[in-house]
Amino acid sequence: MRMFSGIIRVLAVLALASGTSTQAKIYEAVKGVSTLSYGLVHPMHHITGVSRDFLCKVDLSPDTVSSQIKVSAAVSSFDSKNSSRDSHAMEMVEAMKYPNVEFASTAVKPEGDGYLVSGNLTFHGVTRPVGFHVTPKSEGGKVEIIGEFAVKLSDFNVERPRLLFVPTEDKLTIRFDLFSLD
Amino acid sequence: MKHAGFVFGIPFAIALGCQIPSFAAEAAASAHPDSSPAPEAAPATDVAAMKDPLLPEVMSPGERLMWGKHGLMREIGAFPLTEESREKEMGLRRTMLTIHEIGGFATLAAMLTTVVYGQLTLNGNLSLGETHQAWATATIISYFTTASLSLLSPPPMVRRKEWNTVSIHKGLAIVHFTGMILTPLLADGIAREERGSSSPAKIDRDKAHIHQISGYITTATFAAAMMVITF
Repeated sequence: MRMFSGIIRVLAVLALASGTSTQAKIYEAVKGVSTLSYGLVHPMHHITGVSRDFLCKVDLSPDTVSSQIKVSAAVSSFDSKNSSRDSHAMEMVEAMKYPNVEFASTAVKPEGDGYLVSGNLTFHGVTRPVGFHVTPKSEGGKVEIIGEFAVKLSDFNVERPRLLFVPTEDKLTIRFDLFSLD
Repeated sequence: MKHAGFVFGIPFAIALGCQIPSFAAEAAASAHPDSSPAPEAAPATDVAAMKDPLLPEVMSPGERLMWGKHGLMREIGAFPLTEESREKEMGLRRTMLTIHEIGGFATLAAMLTTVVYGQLTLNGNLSLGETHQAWATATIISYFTTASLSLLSPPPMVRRKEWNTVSIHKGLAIVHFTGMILTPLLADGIAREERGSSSPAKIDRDKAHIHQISGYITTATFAAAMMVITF
């Protein structure tokens, strides 16, 4: 019963069932609780950098497809629990010149138990189209949206960080766990 | 050359001093998603660019002296504290740290060679004493040059108060730095005694043994300091 009401709530709150709502609704990710993280692999070592201080605004339209999702995070807000490594990463992405990583959606379509979000990712001054699946959940007056996607550092002209002349892998996995108020 | 450790050690000692926090405000403590989130939405701010301070929150006294807001490099006008200049500093920092990595390998190789020749000399091959001394000199030069490249490099973009592999690397550096001062001093003491002795071919075994242990500890901590570093 509880699960059923949760599903109903997700559908209602996100206005993803066409015709249930006629007004656009704006959601913002709660800072300090929502996380945006990256995963990077160096031989025999997996690195995760987490940001809890970023902006995420979802302008949810009644027809879903024309919904707008905007995310902006300062490169310096990612913490991998090693500031030397974070500083090295910031050098590689030229954080002085390109301080933010940004995402702006272009389409949101229902897919399976969630939605397929397409949009443009701007990182290191380069904009590339990306697509990913998101799964929304609703519980206790909060909406949680989880998802991940991978990009290549080389696609964004980012030189791979090196230690002892060994570079990290080219693949960068981006994960998000967004909380908003119902 | 026997006192090279002291000469090179001055900037090292200044820069190695414990890192102190700047007057910059502490970052706000962040909650864990598992914990009950504060039911309060972020302010309705437009997605906009966020700017950061030019210098890190934590800097060593040496870094402050060289690269701080009123540091030597700022005062002489070589690197004014601007975004453009900090960008150049980051390039310089990466170059210095890359040479520091290469220098680390070169120093370890020289250090191991010095240890081998030292052990052979202690084992009775006294004719190898001069070769041991020559390698020790090469090790001292390589060690302090390598250390200086790291200690005198511009500060990173961010540095927080935290415990990580770099903290272990620096902790071990305090041990091997002490060893790099002590070991040549002990050798110098042995050499002085030998010069004043009526039988210079004889080695004071006790002093040589302490010098030997000091050399081994220095080499082991130096190798360990290299191994703990991960990206």
